[in-house]
Amino acid sequence: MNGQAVIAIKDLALEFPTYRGVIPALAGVSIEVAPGEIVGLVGESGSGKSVTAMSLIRLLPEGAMRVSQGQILLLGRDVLGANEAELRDMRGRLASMIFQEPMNALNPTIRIGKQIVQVIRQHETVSEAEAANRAEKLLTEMQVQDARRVMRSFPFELSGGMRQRVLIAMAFACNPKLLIADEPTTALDVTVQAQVLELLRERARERGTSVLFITHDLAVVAQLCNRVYVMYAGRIVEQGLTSAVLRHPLHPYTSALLRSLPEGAVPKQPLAAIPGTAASPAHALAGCAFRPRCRFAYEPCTRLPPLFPGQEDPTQRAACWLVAEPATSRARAEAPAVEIAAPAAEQAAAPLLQLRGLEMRFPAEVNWLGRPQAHVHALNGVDLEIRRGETLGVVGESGCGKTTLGQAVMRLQRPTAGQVIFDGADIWAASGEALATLRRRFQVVFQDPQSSLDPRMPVAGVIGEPLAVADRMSGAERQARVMKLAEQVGLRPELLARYPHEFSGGQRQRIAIARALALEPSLLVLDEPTSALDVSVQAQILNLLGELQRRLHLTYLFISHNVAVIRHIADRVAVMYLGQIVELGEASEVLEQPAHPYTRALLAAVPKLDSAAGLQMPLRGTELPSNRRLPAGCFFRERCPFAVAGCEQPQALAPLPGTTRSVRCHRAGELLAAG
Amino acid sequence: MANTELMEGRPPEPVIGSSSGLLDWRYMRYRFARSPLSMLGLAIIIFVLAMMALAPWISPYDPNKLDLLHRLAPPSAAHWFGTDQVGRDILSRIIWGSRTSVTVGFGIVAISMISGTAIGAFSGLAGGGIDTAIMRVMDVLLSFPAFVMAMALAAALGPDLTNAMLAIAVVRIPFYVRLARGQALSLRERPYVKAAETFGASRIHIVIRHIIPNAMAPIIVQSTLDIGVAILTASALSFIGLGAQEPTAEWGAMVASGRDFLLDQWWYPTFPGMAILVTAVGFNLLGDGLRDIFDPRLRGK
Repeated sequence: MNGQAVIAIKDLALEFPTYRGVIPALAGVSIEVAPGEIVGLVGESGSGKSVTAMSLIRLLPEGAMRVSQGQILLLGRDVLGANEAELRDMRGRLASMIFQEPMNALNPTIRIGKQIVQVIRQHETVSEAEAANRAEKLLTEMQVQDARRVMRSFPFELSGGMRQRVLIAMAFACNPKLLIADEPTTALDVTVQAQVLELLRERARERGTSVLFITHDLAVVAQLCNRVYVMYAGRIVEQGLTSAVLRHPLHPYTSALLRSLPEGAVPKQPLAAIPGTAASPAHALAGCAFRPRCRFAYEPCTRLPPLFPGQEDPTQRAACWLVAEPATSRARAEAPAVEIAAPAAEQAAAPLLQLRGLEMRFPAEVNWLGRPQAHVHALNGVDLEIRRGETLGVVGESGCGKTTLGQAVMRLQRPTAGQVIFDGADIWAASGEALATLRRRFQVVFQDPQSSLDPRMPVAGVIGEPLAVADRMSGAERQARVMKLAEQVGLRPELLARYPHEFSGGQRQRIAIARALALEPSLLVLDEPTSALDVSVQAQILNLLGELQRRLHLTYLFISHNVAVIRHIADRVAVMYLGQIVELGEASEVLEQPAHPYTRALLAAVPKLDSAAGLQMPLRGTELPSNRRLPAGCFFRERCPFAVAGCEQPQALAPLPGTTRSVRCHRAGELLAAG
Repeated sequence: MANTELMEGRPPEPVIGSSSGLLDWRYMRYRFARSPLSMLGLAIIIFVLAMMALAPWISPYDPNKLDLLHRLAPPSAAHWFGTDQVGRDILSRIIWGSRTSVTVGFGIVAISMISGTAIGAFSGLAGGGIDTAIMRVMDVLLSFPAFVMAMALAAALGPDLTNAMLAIAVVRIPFYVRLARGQALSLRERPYVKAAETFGASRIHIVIRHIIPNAMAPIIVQSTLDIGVAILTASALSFIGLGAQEPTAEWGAMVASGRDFLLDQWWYPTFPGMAILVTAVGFNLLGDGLRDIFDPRLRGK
């Protein structure tokens, strides 16, 4: 580190006084960012990473928190002691911030251009016209095509990726020395994320701006950051160069976190999940907060470990007693992974679920007579078969129709055309008694376990609800069955009288899974079941799903935007783009040697843990085309780097000779051969 | 402006008990303790309820006992609030009158809340033609001035306190229908309602088990605010002779018969009027307090 640090947090401790007593949020956090450096701050939910970011420019509501110790120096100026006027001057000019939800950070009633101009004129005395000029230049720099039009737009008229570019433009408007980015790409699709990350890195490098990048995603850190701090329960547990920390983590938490990622694991084998849930600083333990989840916990862990420098590289530090005692840590080697033979799907039997020419349109832009002027084309002819006992992964970016597909399969949203045939019966043609018996055989698990459980029902009621509705089971019988279900998903039966909000996210997802299993279904539709969870908990849920599938012989339709998760759990995978399947085949083939140009682009955009892989921006067009007016010919043609004559013809999902997969691209064979 | 945006800056919500509105007594106590006006409202209501319960023991006289020697006596040590034109003790009549007036208020709110919520929740969940039909009927009800409508209904049913109560309750139903329907419209998109659909739950099951319990918070707030209005309206009907009949002690009826004496015997209409006012204010303060507690935007402050 050369020169004065741009930001130096020294031993910061911060707490929130609430009606449940004082909740400590940060304890002894020290972070330094040197000029021009990109530093990552990683942690799971509740680790205190966002609170740290907010406290940097004092964005936390002043009455609601208390700084009990420590100091924050922004370019040598004391932030905690600054008055309002000094603070206003620091914010924006010295340090600016980008948030996760770009929609919330923009004023919905003011045009984009005016909002940027306001930021510029807040800090510099320039004329309106000059500021507008600069705003336009900034937007162009942020790779906003058609900056003039964007300046005249309102935030809601822009896509998420475009809004994030606008926010980055605003953050850079006054050339701050420090940019604080709080999960700026978490809400974006991977292909857009790759572009935004690259943009952030390039613009920061050109201007010599330092970046403090807060994220939960270790792979993003690997791609972007020079150094990284790992937080757990309001403390820094490890810090060092990104490559060192990710390759040879010193702290058991960092290494467990890395091993719980599906990226590095053998597909279909259990992941090395961290038991328990992320500790919240609210229920702080004496000593190391990771102790209850740590495989290596031993007697000294009841005392708080300081940040010990590592043996090989003293700049890499970890708050763990084992680091000071390398002999012990060597002895505690990795536990060998248990190999489990994956059951083969029954190839010969008739498929469990067939989708035939499924189309779904929603009316949009109604005219004054109430007639729709345009349609949102959510599904455009999906044909798919799911075999008994397999896991079919559906992967795609937002707006590709994967959730709509799940809704049609679950009989929640009637398709405009096409059939959903479950075990030989058309679910949309069935009614009455036949429908009731059919319905029990396919159940669903939603993305957000918080909203998929009724907050006013005790958990026993939630799990038993399907039994009460569909089985008319008596109280005592139901009780016994609920107990068994809870046990099956790893919930302690004595907790069943509690309400959903008393459980953590992972436990809530277990409850949702138990409810879905209550009627002993054959098919489970899993709609992004792990997207709302922390990675360590995601591993637990994926393991549970794998185990349940083996034990109960379930068939899964697993919908996710997360390629690594799909790669881990799916036997076959369907890649969706604009309401169509563009590639379908064995997960190992499709996700390792993609044939369709879109699959290639998608895979290339996924950040890799190996920092040497580098960021890739494979797409020409930046935005997903609107699904209001479908493109003619191949839907991907306008963004496709391999487009040639012939692509203006509609493409069919055709089997690719010599492989087990089908691809919707006439150049697939040639592209696959070229590698 | 991005860099002064405070929205993301809320402190983390407490881990336990953060999402349960109605059940979290500790949270309610905490919020109440920090809102002196709601505390005052609560105190008034407890006082009124105690008055209702203890009327036979705390009222100094029989409310219907005539004492022609002391007609229209001004407030004194013997008669704190004075007496009326036939010598009945006004304080005793106010104490006993709380039983009638407040009970009628509760009755009106209970009837309109229960039927309105049920209709609204079903209407919102059903959607389509059923929903449109129900809502148009409600629009018709709402298009009459509420008091005129209640007056017409009460007159048609005959001058009697129970009829007045029913009339006012009917007039107030549409407010609850609209509120519950709005809640149902948003709740029916929740994943837990979708999940209930996937295992074949009927509409009735969804309304009873999911929609109504989750829609209750704003409805309870509305009903608390409504009790004050209901008491006032019932008193107004009694005032014009369509509600409580002599000799029943009822606050509105007392104001009505006292109005002729306003200039010379001010205490006669004033004290019953004060009782109405104070009780209505009490319920409104409590309702405001509850609304703040249930408002998720104020959470965590």
